[in-house]
Amino acid sequence: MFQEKIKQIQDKNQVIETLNTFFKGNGFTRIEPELITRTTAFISSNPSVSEDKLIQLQLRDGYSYVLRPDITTSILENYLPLMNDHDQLQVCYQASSYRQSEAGLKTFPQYGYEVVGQVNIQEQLNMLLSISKKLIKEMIFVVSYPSFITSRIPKMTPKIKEALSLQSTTSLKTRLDNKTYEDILPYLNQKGTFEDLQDQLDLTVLKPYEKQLNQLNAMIDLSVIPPYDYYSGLYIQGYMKGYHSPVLFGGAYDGRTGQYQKQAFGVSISLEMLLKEFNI
Amino acid sequence: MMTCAIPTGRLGKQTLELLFNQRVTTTLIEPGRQLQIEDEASNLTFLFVKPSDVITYVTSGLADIGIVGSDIIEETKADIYELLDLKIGTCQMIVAGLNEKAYVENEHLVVSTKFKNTAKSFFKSRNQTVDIKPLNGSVELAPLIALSDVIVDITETGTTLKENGLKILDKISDVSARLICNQASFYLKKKEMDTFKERLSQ
Repeated sequence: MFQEKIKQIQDKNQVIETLNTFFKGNGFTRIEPELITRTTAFISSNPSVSEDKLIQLQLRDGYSYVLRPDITTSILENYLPLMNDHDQLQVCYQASSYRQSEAGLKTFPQYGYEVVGQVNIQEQLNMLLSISKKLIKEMIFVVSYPSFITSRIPKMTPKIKEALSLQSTTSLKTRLDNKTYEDILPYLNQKGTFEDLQDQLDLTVLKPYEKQLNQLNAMIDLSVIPPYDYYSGLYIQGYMKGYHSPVLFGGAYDGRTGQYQKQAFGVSISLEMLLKEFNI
Repeated sequence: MMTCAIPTGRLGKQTLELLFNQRVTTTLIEPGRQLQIEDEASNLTFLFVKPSDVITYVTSGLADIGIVGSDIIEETKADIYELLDLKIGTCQMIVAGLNEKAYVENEHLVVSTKFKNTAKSFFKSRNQTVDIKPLNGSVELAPLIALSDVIVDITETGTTLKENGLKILDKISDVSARLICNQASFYLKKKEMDTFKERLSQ
C-alpha cells in the first residue's frame, strides 16, 4: 500500500517534470499560482458564475476572497497590471482549482499554460497539435467561438445563458424572439468538421484557422458556451474515451485583457487524465 | 453500444412505450424487477434508476443518455446537454399556499420545497427575500402546520393541492420529460446519439 502510494507520487512527478521540460523548451516559465483571489476580481471577470459555487473566505483585512475557482483569473490578477506595452507573458503551471458542490469541496487538479501579450492563434493551435501528438493519446477537439453566438442575442440574461449551456432548443424558443431563435438554431443543430459545415453555416470567424482546425480534425460546435465569461474568441474543449467531461479546455480571452491592450490564450489539461494516459 | 438511464415509475413506463413506438427499440422493454437490461437488437443498455438519480448517472458518464424531468434539470444545473423535449410527463412548477394573503410581493416569505435552488432563483427574480425549508416529501403539509407561508412544488392536476386546501398562487414554469446526454458522449458517440434523437423526433 505504502509502496504503491510512493510509486504514484513518483509517476506524477515524472509526468510533471516531462511537461515542465516540454514547456520550458517552448519558452514558458513555470509559476506557482496564488491560492486565493479577491472575490470582487473574480466576479467582475465572471459575472455569470454562480456565487454559490465559490468557496469564500472572509479575512481579517476586511476583504472577501475566494479559493481560486479558476487559475487564469488568479494569474492575470498578479501579472497583468505589472506588464508594460511590449512585455510577453508565457507561463505554465501545475495547480488545482476549487469549487463548492452539493457533495462539498470539488477540486480540479490540472496542468495548464497561458500566453498574454502578442498572441498568434494559428501558432497556439499548432502548439495544441504538437501537445496532442507528442504527449497525449487520441482526443476529439470541439471548437467554438462564444462571441459569435452571444453577439446574435440582443439581451443576454442568465436564463438564456443557462439554456445555451444546455443547448436546449425548447428553453431557448420560449426565451428568445422568433427572429433570434431562427438565426441561432442552425448553429445548435449542426456540428461537424470545417469541411462538413462550410457550405451550411457562416464560419467566417473560424476561416483564418481552417488549416489548423483540419489538422486537429476538430469538430466545430459554435453553440458551445464556456463556463467562464472571459473566453470570447476561439474556444476549445478536448474529449477522450473513458472520461465523462472535457479533459482539456481553453482558448482566447482578449475580453479579459483588452483594457491592457493585450491578447491572451490559455489551456488547462486534466491532471487525472495526464497521469493515466501520458506517453512518457 | 449506448447506455440509457430510465426513471422508474410512471414516467419510465411512458418512456419505454415511446421508445418502442418510435422504433428506437424493437420490443417493448418491461423491466420488472431487473435494474439493468441489455437490448442487443437496438444496441442499447437500459439502467432503471430513481428519477432524481438519472442526472447523476448521466453526468458521471455511467449512462450516455437519460430521460429526466425539466424540473430536475433546472434544480441541479448539471453539466449536461438537453437534446429533446419528449412532451410526456407534463406538469407545472408552481407556488401554492392557503390564500393570496400568504403571497404578498416585497414581503419576506418562508418557503417549503424539494426544489430549493429553483425556489431561490424564482424569488430572487422577484426581488423577494425568502427562508427555504428543504423537505423531501409531503410538502403540501407545510402551510397547514405553519411551517411555511407557501410551497414550491410540481403539480399535474392540482388535486393533491385542493385536497389539502391549497391554492396555486403563481406558475414558475412548465415541466416535461427531456432527453438528456453526457457532454463527452455527445461528441464521442455523435452518430449513435444523432440516430437516437432523430427517431424520437419523428
